[in-house]
Amino acid sequence: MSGIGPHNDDRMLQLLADRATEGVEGADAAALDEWLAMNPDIDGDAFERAAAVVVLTGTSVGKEALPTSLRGRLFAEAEVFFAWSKGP
Amino acid sequence: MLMVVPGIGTPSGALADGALSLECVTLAGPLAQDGQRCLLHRVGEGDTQAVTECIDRFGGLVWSLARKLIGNPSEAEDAVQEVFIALWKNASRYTPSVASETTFVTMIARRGLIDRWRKTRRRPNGNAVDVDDVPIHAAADDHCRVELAEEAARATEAIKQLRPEQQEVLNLAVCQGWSHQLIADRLCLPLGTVKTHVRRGLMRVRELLGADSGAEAEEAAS
Repeated sequence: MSGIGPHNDDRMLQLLADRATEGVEGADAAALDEWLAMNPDIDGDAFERAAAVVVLTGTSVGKEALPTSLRGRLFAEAEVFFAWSKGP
Repeated sequence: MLMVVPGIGTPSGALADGALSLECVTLAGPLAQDGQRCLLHRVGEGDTQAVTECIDRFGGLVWSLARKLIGNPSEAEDAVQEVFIALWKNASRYTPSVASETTFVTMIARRGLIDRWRKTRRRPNGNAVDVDDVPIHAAADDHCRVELAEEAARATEAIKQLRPEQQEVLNLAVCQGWSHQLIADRLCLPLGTVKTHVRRGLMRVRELLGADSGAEAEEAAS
């Protein structure tokens, strides 16, 4: 059952934390979406953003430059994507 | 019943016993006041130069994340492509007052990589060492490096304030990409405890970073 209350809020905060670290799907994802829709003052990205900042502490992300071939693929994809987005 | 959502229930900060505050995830703060158009908004409009700059500025970061969390180079390349398409689709949603562009890109990238884990049912298993653990700053361009350094410093301070066990669990879950179950198994902790550490750790980081943002906003306004 959805709604606002300490127990439901705790569960939803846990789902937000799960989403930021493991992802959520199925009934959990639907419940979370419903709760966020009912509570527009809640920032649904907050935990994902916090996780992003934790990653940026630089303690565990590797030092690798973007491969040249992959860079080329991205530009080719961008050309298609943005041309398609703009329409005829 | 005591409500815990600021703006809806009883006075902000009043909590029922054992309840977790939602304040760390409420939208807050004024919108950005500078008139400068950020890179991601220009990307959202399909500005060719901005798209090029976006790939060059964030390509190394996204690639590093993909190599770390996906491992297999070929799959990582596909993942990077998917992440950039997601980034282009979401670029116009970026809000400068809420996060830096680097944080936003990292968030979109992690979201895409986690989705990929779920689709393929494959994720880091705690055995492989995919890439060297060295600061990502070295892989970034100058602009990105400065932004990263500032955010990393703030995040490091925030993380230092967490309890050691929270730090360890958060590192394994967020940076190493381990599942909650794997962390529970390896650290011999109940799954519920791992989940609580992850949740409270993220909340604490969010609160501490939010407090910093508030202080900066006040300073800028004075």
